[in-house]
Amino acid sequence: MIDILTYPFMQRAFISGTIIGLLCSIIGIYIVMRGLSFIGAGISHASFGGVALGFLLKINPIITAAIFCILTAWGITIVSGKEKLKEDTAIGIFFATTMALGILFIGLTGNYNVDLFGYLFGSILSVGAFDLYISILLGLLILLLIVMFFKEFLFISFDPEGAEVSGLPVSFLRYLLLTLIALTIVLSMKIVGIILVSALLVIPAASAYQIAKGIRSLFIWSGIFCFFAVYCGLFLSYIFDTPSGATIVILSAIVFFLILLVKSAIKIRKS
Amino acid sequence: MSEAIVKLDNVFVKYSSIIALENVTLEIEEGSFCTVIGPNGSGKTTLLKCIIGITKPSSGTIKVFGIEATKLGKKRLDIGYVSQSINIDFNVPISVFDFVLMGRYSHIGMFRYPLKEDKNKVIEAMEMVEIKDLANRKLIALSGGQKQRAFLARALVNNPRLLLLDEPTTGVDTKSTDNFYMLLKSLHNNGITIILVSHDIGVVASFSKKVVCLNNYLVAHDVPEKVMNESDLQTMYGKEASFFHHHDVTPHIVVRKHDD
Repeated sequence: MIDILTYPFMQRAFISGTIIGLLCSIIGIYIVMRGLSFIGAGISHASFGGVALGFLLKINPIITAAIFCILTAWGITIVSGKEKLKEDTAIGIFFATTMALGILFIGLTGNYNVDLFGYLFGSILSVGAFDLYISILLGLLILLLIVMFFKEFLFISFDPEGAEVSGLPVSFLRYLLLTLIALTIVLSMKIVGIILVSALLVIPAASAYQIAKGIRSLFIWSGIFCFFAVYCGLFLSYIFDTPSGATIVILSAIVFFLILLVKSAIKIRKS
Repeated sequence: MSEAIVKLDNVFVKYSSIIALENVTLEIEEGSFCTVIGPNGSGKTTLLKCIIGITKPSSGTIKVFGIEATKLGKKRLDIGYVSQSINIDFNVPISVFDFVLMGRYSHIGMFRYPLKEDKNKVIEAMEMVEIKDLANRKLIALSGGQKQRAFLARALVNNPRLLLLDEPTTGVDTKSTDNFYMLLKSLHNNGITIILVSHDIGVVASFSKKVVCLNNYLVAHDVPEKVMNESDLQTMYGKEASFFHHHDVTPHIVVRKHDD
């Protein structure tokens, strides 16, 4: 069983998975706390446009996707903050536009043999050596920023108004958090896939909410669920040759529904 | 006469086409207990947000502690603010202690984590509002009255000189509300200046030293006895408004006049 770790591509997938697990479990808590799930989905779909642009310009798609995702995250916030537009409407517009751009770029490349399927649904074979270096570097940077602003992110996610009146630079922190969400999505894209990456940001954190007894245990449980899904998902997708993203997300969802089921059973028993 | 802790000069606040505050000129002295009353949408919350410096006036000046409100910087920590808390997800499993500690975050500063001194301040604030024994309780498990005290503790954790409260007793039962106001009174007796936005006219009569009647513009501001008259009330709430007298002597709430 351990021998799968002797393959370099699996080693890369597991190292990358560790970074993804760590980042998604922490960022996911902020996303669920502030109700940012839909913006997460919007940003992840924007990465499709970025990936396609990377193919068109023959640049590493991670770089173009990062730029696309960050601009989309900021764009949604700027537009919904300034214009007479609800945030979900702004997300819907950006979501569709960036996807449309992606399809346009793919059309313009004139080459449909590109490894688009891997980006859309995630693949354990897809993490190259360069991708891994980027993952490690960017992952450490994101982690450092989370450690630096951990309590501030918590405050603006839990009580934005309270954070603002207490004198925190809420707007700066909001943009920084959105940037970190965008970068986490880009890092997770290769293994989990564009379509499903937002689920990994939401489901483990949502499961943690069901059972956590405090803020610290919220993050710990989210980490446990995220690592369980990523490691088991990678392992199972190797054994059964299934797409890694779908396997990881389905495992997360199974954990989530099991928790709900057990909680309901306990409630019924008590009553 | 005490010095003005808050001073507004010809303040206008506009949100696109809506005027929230219109030519408001007002002084609130240090050590006063001031209640702001007015109908919904009369600019009460905007007034508080202007004082704390997060809403910038379209024109006019607002000075707090003699400094322009939007440039308070670290002096902002001398203001405690109890908001309406409508934007909070109470399902977050946060303990009362951690919740009150959030009020220290600005003081602690970015890139730093809470020290023992910060934790002591939290305990002090919880003692002040008599919820120290609830420190490990989850916020969601508190009653309405206890929740309000937790919010108050968070606002008090930096030992503010000025305390702003935006309808703090909404949805809280009468007994807890009375206890809450008694607590505010004792804080006021300890020297904290209080500006309270309230619908509760009873508070105005029994606790306040000054009443500000707002209906986007300043209808009146003075001691309660001078302001609490039917004419000012009707300017704010419309011609059908009146004081409702209980068997006690203080007017209690505003109601519409009935035909009977």
